[in-house]
Amino acid sequence: MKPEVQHLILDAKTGNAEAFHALVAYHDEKMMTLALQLTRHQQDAEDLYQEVFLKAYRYIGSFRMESSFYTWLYRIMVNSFLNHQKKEGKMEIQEPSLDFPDPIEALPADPAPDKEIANQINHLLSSLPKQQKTVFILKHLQGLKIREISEVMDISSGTIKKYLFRAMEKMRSGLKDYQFGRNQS
Amino acid sequence: MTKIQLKEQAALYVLKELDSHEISAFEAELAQIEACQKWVQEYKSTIKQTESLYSIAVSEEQLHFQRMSLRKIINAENNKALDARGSHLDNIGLSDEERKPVIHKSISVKQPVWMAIAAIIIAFFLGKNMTQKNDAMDIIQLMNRGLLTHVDIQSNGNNAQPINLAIHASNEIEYSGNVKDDLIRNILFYLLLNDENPGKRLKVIKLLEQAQLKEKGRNVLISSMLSDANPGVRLKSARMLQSYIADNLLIDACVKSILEDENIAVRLSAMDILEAHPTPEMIPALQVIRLMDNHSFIQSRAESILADFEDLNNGKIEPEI
Repeated sequence: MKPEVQHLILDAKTGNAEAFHALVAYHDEKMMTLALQLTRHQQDAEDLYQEVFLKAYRYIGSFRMESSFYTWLYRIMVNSFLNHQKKEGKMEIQEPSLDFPDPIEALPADPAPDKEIANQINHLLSSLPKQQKTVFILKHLQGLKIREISEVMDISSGTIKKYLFRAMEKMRSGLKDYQFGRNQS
Repeated sequence: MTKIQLKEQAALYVLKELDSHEISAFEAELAQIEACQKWVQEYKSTIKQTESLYSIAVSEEQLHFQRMSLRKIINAENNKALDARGSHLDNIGLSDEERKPVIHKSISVKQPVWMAIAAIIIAFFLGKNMTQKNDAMDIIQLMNRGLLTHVDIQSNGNNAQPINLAIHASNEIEYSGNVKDDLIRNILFYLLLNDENPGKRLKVIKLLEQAQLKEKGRNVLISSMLSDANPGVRLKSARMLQSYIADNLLIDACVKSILEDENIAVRLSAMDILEAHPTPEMIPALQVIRLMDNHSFIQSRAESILADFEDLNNGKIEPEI
């Protein structure tokens, strides 16, 4: 952990709100990206962002600095996201609809995936069980190591590997036709 | 190894999550088994396609908006907590008879604020300066309570002339003073962090520029340099920070700025700060810029700062990337 971040955390732990806001500015880009990747929905992502940082503000006193601040924030976000899905079924990832603005769809991607493939990827990812989907996103889109995901989700590395493999296998299987031509299987 | 185990190994191999021992064992299988090669290829392709679709760039404007919303929520929460603590303290050690006015107070919590605002307006129209101190306390309370939602600034830009503030809260307050006035400065800092109007934030930073801040508001300026959506505000914040003592927090903020800010002028101002206060921690960032930046003059600026390091260290520069 960088000494400056450590210093800000210590200040924030004593109730210094400005130090906390400085911490937010340091960390929130990745958190918003993760929120968008998890929810695939602008408003839900913004709600998740606010919820995570508000919880972080309330509970920063209990942050023991044994893990990185990012890991702690990731943990709050993943737990909040999974709880929402579990309790309310409100933040279920939806397939992008034509009537519904999809923030991610509008972003440039390189190489540009074919619309059909993009739809298929969205469909496959949204049909994964929530734990597998979360692990898949943390690994591929946030670049976390299995050890880090295990820390974030509080699940053993062995289980994370299993989730990841199952998610990868479903995605591979579902995209096989698109990757190597429709006529091959 | 069973087929499913091999597939799992192939997935972990692509994910670079096998240890060196497992890699050797799997690569031996990979060389011999065609299906294995196919899985590896398909896993790689799956990842590539998913990553390209889900690459998301979050805009600075979007983040700024979210930070402001969060600030408001946290302010409101803090005020609520303060109110609760206040009413709790009020209730300590009071008899039932004595509790009545306390209950009355907690129900009409806005009454003291209304009274204070009314007093400020009356004093203002009577032209009396004796209430200046009390006004200040009331406005600070309004700021802390998050009631300071809309402030109009009237200033002709002349340092010697007073700045007039029209504060729209539960009632209207007019306040006048110059940038040397602590309260005016604090309101300006508050607006710099909280006002949603980028034009007004620019006006505020210009007014603050006239004040000799002498290390005051450093965190506000750092926050503004890093996160304001208006490049003019970021630039002015960076320039003002040039006169501040460069501690680790400021150096780190400048490093972040030179690496990430989209505006060249802001980056150059942050580089000025770094150049004036060379520390080894900034070397990797400067090396990255020297090698990879899109702007040649930014590259050469990084080169020149790095050359200063070499001079300071007898031609050696560490750490090398």
